[in-house]
Amino acid sequence: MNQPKDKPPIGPTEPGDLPLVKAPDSIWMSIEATLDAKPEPRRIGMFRWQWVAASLAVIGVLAWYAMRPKAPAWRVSTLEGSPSVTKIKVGDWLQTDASSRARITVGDIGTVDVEPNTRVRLVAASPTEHRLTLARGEISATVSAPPRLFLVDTPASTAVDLGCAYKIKTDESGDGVLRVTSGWVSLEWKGRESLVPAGADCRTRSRTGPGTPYFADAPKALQEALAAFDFRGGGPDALGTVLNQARVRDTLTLWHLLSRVDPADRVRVFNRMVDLVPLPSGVSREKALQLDPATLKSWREELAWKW
Amino acid sequence: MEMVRIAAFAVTLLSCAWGADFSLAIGNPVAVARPNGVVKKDIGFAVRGENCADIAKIQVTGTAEGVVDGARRSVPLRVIAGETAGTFAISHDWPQQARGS
Repeated sequence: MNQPKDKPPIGPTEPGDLPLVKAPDSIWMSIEATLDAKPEPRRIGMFRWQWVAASLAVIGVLAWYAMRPKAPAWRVSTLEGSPSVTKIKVGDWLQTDASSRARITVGDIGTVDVEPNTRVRLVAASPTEHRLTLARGEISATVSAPPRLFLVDTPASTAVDLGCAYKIKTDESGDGVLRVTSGWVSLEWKGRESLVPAGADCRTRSRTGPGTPYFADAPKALQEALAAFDFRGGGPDALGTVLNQARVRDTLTLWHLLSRVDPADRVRVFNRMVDLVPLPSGVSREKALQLDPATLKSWREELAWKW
Repeated sequence: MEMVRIAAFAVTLLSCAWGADFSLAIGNPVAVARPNGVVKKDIGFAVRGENCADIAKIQVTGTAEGVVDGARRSVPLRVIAGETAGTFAISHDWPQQARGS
């Protein structure tokens, strides 16, 4: 039985015997409709929420920029000559020439006068640390603040303000001197500390740091011998001169030397101190010679009444 | 030009059980303006009562007496208790140009 030609065969068929069947018109119409249709434009822009997010981000950046913490800056005023800056920010250097002097207002805790031929840099100006670097030259600081808030680094020391007024000068190698006019300054360098009260000076030297403090009115011979002991290896001879020349208030110097001399010389220093000012009650010889910190502190506080 | 001359100052002990050896020591301001202490600036001098039976009860007042343009002038001084009982910081409240005698 023959099958109509426009109908697919029924039952198994040998390969090559499949008849051609014309596609229905509905299929062609569907294809043509699809080809004629204009492609829908692809959405390449942002959705509305993306615009909102981007706008908020821009607003946020602008708000941060407007309200960002300002870089700390201290005011600079001219005392003499013509320093070219009116303020100094963290990281800035201030340099005076031979005929210029300037005053830096240190936040709200004091002032620093910058003398001629001086180079200073503002290192920190935070609520917990006000710090300058004195590369060379001389500054005068007057500060009223909690201890250890204001610090000045030099090439051979750090002057730590303990509530005071002072002058400090140095050259670029670190050779210099500190003079305290009010209160106390702690001069520190690599674990070495010199406590300098009002009326006293303390030298600094490169590679050595702070020397031993001495009162500015101390005998010249004492001052020279002390410099030899501190910086030129003066040894027992220089120490002997210091001890011989010491007055009552020079126990400031001897108190510092107690912990700086060789153990063999410590008794010499101790005995000279006791010759000048009797050992106060509560301070034992043994503990003092052992450099017991509490004993030395108590002794220093008592000696300060003689300074 | 104003002539200022502080001739003397007086420190009065208001309360102390006086002993036979009682004394009043006057010292450098650094004696009370200690490192890391609370008393710091503008101290003229330090005062300490000694040999007092109850040193914690010492009370101190101070007045600077001087002559300004020929007229007597009294300047009350602020007295600040030190960290140690019986010690006081006397503030430098008299004119800077004053000279004692």
